Amino acid sequence: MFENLLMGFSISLSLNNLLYCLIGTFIGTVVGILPGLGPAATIALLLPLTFKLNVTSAVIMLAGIYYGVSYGGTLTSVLMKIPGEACTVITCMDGYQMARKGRAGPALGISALGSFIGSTFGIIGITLIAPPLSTIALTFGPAEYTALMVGGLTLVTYFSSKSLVKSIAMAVLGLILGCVGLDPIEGMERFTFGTLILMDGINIAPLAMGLFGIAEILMIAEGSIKQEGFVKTSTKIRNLLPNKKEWRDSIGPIFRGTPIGFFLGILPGGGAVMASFFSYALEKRISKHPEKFGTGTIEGVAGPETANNSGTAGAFIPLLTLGLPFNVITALLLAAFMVHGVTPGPMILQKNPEIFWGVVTSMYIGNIMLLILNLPLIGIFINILRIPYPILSPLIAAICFVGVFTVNYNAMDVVLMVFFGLVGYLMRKFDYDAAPLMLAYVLGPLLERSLRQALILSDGSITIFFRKPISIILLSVAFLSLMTPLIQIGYRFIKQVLFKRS
Amino acid sequence: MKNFDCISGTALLLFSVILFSQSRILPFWGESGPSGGFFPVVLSILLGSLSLIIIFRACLNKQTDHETFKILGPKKTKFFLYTISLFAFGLVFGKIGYSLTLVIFLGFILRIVEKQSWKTTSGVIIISIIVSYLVFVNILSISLPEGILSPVIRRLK
Repeated sequence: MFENLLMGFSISLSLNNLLYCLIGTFIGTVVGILPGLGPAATIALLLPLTFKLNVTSAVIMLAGIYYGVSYGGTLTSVLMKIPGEACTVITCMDGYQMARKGRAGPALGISALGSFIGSTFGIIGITLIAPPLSTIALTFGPAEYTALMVGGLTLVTYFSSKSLVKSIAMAVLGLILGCVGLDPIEGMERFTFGTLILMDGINIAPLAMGLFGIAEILMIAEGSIKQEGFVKTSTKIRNLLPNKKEWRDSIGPIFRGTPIGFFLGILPGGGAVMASFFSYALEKRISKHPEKFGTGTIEGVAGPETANNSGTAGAFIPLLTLGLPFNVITALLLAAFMVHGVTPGPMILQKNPEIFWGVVTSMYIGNIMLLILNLPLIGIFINILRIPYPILSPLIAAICFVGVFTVNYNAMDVVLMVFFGLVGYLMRKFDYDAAPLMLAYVLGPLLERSLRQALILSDGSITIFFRKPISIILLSVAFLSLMTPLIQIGYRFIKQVLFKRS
Repeated sequence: MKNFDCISGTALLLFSVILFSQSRILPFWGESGPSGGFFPVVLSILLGSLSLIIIFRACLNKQTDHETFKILGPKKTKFFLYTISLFAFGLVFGKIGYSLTLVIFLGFILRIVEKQSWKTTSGVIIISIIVSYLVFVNILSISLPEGILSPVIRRLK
């Protein structure tokens, strides 16, 4: 393990990779602050631009965006009470109140430090868990992979903030979009309507940028998203550091948030989001003064921020060891790997260990960079927040146009992106979640291939999915999560009947 | 949400019906197992069932008095102008070139839609063109479409 880490550091500490890591983390932080371009749209935007890089450098840069985004999101949560990203929602509660009391600096400072500690331990966790998990994954066949993907997709829809039925419908729609193009086993054309452009399927860049980027720009244009004012704060370093009491009060939440975030981050769905909420709930429960939560306590910031960054590290485990992404961002990172001809999964440690260890060690370096960037550069990031949305929106649209165009150098991709932007806008209006659609779109071809291979092996019998314990467990989890709303309705009905009788 | 759910459910149902009809053209099952039409057929049936559930739940829900059926936000004109500009950008920028399209797009959005001053509009346009060419063309070596300005751009190069 030590030799592997040394190998990884030798790759990630090369000048080129340090530069790409810095670019990724800086872009990620800026994206976390700005509206319109979330991490999904940004990674999709930069994906075609990484074609000229080698796979390790490309993934290092794109991964930097992922963990950089939560740092940027914290800034808007604390200063404006607007969560930059879903995983920083809970930071709004106490972070903003701390800012109103003139303690924005320590709130931002402890977030950065807690995030660094969380990510560091998360990376140690990856180093320890990934190799044995890869060994176990080598025993998986198509049936187990199918069960894993079905279980993962179902859990993602279960943890979606929207209605379960609507989220499942979006996941199915994503799987359908993944069918466009050539069949993964027999190579027959499906839903191409005789056009060459659809032969390769719907490209991920117009889909992701449309659903997440253009849709947000249209929401800003119609007035649904407004630019808010923010709490002014000192940007000097000494004013960003917590005092002794705040440090003492933060240590417990930071060290509790780390394992919570890491293990929840491995789970499908919004692992990092769940981790931050769970950490907040835990800190409030065990606190001697729970009534102070929501009024500006440092524990309410330190715990969730640590958990969400530790969760970000955890989310890499299923991607790197099983080759399965369990959230939208890692789905796009999977696309990045595949575009460069590398399939992450259990074989990556044998065939391409330099890629695995290079990416893992770069996350550690990236978090050091974020710590260095975020404290001194807070002033610059705050100035970015001042750019009016009416100027920012068309500029972000123009960047999206270039990004999408560079995929195939085809202007029709740009039109397709705008079309998906409209679709994404309507999805938000009709209260549908785009995340299950994106994840299902990336997993769709893999799921179809595994499913059909399993059925071919079993001569069409579905009993193949019930032969090994892992697939039975995963399919049971999927079934239970789908049945939970019905169970809840049944439980409420029985309770009502019993109450009436008594 | 009742009206919204009825409309979205119906749209999904129609889509699933069209998808099912298109998928039936493909072979469903081959000699060794499921063929290319298997997955789309199963998914279209699943989507159709889910859309029926969405419609059914919407019909069962009571419409509350304060719920108004409004899709668009308060700035409808801005929304339409943005949408038309975005589509127009996509359709013309391959033909007339990136620079000219960017100038027209930013000029229209900033000056006419967002009502920014001429100074701000020109400043943003000039900076955008310079930064675009520096970052995309020079640093990232991306060929942006030159369109009708290609003779001018080639002379400048």
